[in-house]
Amino acid sequence: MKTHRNTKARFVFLLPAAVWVLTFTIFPLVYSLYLSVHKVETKMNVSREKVPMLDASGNPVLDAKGNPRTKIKINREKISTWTNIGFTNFKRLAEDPQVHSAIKVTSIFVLVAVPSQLVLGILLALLFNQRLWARSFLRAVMLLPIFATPLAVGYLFFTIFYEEGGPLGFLGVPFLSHPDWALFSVILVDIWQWTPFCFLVFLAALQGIPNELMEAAKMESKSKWGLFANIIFPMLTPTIVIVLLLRLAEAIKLFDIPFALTGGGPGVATQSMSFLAFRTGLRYFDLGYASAMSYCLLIIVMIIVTLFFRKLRQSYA
Amino acid sequence: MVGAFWYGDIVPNGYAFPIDDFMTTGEYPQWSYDSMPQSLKTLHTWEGVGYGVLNDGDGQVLYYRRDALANPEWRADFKKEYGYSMPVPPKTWQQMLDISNYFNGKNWDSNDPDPDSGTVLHLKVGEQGHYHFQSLSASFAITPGPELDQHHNVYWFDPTNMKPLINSPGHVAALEFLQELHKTGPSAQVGWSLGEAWDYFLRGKSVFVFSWGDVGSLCQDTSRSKIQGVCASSILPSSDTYYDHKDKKFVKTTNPVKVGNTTGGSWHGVISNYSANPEATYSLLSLMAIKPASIWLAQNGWTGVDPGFTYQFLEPQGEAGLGEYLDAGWSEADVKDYLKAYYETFFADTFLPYLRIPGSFEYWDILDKNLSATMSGEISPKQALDNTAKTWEQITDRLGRDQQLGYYQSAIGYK
Repeated sequence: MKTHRNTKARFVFLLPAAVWVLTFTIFPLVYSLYLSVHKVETKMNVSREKVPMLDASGNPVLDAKGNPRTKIKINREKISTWTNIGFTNFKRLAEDPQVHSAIKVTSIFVLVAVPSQLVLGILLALLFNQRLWARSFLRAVMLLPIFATPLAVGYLFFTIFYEEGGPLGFLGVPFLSHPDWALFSVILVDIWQWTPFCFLVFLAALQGIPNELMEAAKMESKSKWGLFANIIFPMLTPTIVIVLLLRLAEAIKLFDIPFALTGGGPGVATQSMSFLAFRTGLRYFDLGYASAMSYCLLIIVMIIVTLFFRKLRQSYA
Repeated sequence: MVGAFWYGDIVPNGYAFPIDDFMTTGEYPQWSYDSMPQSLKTLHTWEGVGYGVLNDGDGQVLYYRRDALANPEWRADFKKEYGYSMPVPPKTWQQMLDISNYFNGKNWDSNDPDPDSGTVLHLKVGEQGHYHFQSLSASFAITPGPELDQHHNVYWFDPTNMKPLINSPGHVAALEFLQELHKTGPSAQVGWSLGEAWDYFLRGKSVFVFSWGDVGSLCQDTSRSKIQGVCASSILPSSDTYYDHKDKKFVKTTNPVKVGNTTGGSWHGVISNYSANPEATYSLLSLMAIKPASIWLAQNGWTGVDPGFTYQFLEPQGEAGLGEYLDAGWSEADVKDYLKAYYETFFADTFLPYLRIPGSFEYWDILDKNLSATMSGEISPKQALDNTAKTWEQITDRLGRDQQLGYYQSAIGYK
């Protein structure tokens, strides 16, 4: 009897999480997969009829001559046609120059931004792990970018990079009007926003290394590089893999910053995969193709995540 | 509020509510499609049925600095350098480029000590850059003629088969020209949307901008503008050379035709078929369409509403009195130029056809991205327009060529 009650209680406690996952993860996944192999066309059949106009109490409203007023009621019948088109949308991905460009932009962004954030994060963590003037204050300031909304950050940097009279205008750098510089600007803003996150996690990991171990290591090795390479870095490796994984998964979904900063341009120079999927789905209303793009992105992320988890398990072993 | 280019997506699919019956009841504020030029009326109706309520008239005209172009010293110097008198306003794009080149880099405006520009453009991708190209390229790429047929007065597609015309030699020449014009303005404008470009002109930093009616009314807003009284306007120049689609060759002309346009969205209210109270919606929209509201909206730049209706044009072409604008704080010289420019633009005999078919936004967005890539130097004009044409073919095939052809023919009046 007790066992039965425990089973029921477990079920009740698990139910919200299960509903959450089913509603917000499984259903969208299945629905978008279904969308990606269909062409969806939506039309509305409309008829109109005149009905009596009623006041709040349900009585007929009369016009100046005392006749009942009428209003138009619109009867709608929404007709959605779902045509199975197989893998046509996935084939389009292979032939679409916009997709190729978006993959290139996303790859460059990920390969430059994420390692930069990690390296800078480690360097800052090493710096802040020592005695430092006003360390607490500086650490708090360092963390501020994390709390800003990426969209707002994009607009903020739009004013900073403004080439005619902006605060960096004197440099004469075409931050937003040259394709290469525009991508560099997007990367720079992302590094500015997310390096503090890496720094924070690495600092916590550094502070978790036992003092005894560090003291003993210092006696063994007089070179700071040796200390870092032989003791600190191996100890940090699991954390680095986790941070790398989190940042990779986030960076591949790049959207907010180019949306606000460059609009994906000039041309398609900063149009990421997520941005392209957004425009395809919610501007062209080509939902099937946008779903196929999103699935493509999901598969790439899944492969990376799987590889990194494998690496993580190995590093723990 | 919808842009006229939405019609191909919303009307055939049953999302828009027809308003002709409301207009005849006499129960609502009275306005009429007859208050619009035919060019704008077309954008508010679909297959003869009215859907849109008058609000905003979009079209691009040329704005120029009256003081700079009238200055005798600059004029003499220009004549010495270019061998002809500076025409005011320029009649051809080629003359405008010369003038723009001449003024670019000189400190001809006394508002600051820095060098000023020739022409400012709004070229940011995903914004309004492609509209610049549409308006400018019309007189390069349209073969003028008395009727609209397969080769004359067409711009977007061949009306017999939906093959794109966007990469025709005329369009390519226009894009090459736009690149040259871009060099006479700040290079940062590749990343500029409307606000930045307009602000640049209003601060007295460029001789020319070609854009919507907002600029003319914002010129009068002295909290933003340093150029009230010297903000002149005219219908857009034309190219002295156009492409003949029939004979497949360029034609040089000494008397280029003026090409009108309704470039933009002409944003206006359309009642959704999801409306629970279409009567109340129409009542509000029509209230905003009658003269007192409509003229006030057009007189104030921040509203985003631009002129285009008979009661906004000055007498004798329209019904508005000059005093109405002067009382609203307008400069007399500016408003006369401004409304004449819009009248000529909307009533021109040769016209840039408006793209109103399903997927219009997608067609334009593809064009926009390729234009932006060209203006930033990534790809050549020919490559950009070839890429555009190729993608347009794919869009047309995906949406259904026959359906698209039917809507296109109907939209441009091809018989």
